[in-house]
Amino acid sequence: MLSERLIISNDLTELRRMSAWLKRCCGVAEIPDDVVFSLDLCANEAVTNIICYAFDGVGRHNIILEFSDSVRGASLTITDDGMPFNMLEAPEHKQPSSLAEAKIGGLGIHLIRHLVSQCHYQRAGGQNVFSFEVEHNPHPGNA
Amino acid sequence: MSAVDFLSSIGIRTLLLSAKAISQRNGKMALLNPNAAITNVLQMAGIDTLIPVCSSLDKACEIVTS
Repeated sequence: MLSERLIISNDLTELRRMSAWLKRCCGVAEIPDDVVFSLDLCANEAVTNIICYAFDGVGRHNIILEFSDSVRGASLTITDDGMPFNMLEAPEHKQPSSLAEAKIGGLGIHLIRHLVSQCHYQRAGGQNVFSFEVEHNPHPGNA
Repeated sequence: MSAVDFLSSIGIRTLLLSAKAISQRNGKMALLNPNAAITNVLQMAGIDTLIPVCSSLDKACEIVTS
């Protein structure tokens, strides 16, 4: 089983480095493309939320990413020392009935909920620890 | 959109803002030829019900000029 770790800073330009690292890990672990896409999208959504909303002020903070693969798929744990936030408690997204009614924003958590097979949040040692797993699709035609 | 290989909520925000701006000028916007993964994201986000997604340029032109 592959287990890798990356530390990035709270800067949106780090998303590109994170995605490249994630794809490298998935390549080594021979993770299927659809799982890689979902994992990368969820990581982008979760880390963007952390960078944009978890920290007061402009100080530098580390965000720790830990990748591991399994027979079921791949998982990622994201740790940050920002303010406590459990995205699993965020209200469900409500689908607007028209373009005029559509609100801008709030879709990141909605996408994560759709794409992950399991996710878990805990606040430990003054840090947010968010883990999620994306499983191989047993029915690729239903992607 | 056939060359688009990744779409997150930041990109969706841009699509929605563009479609709203065009709509406010009495225009219409359509999304042409997203690949399967991007189509899946658009569907999960419910965007395909707000902005038409087309697989042919003729159909897209028909929608935006109707």
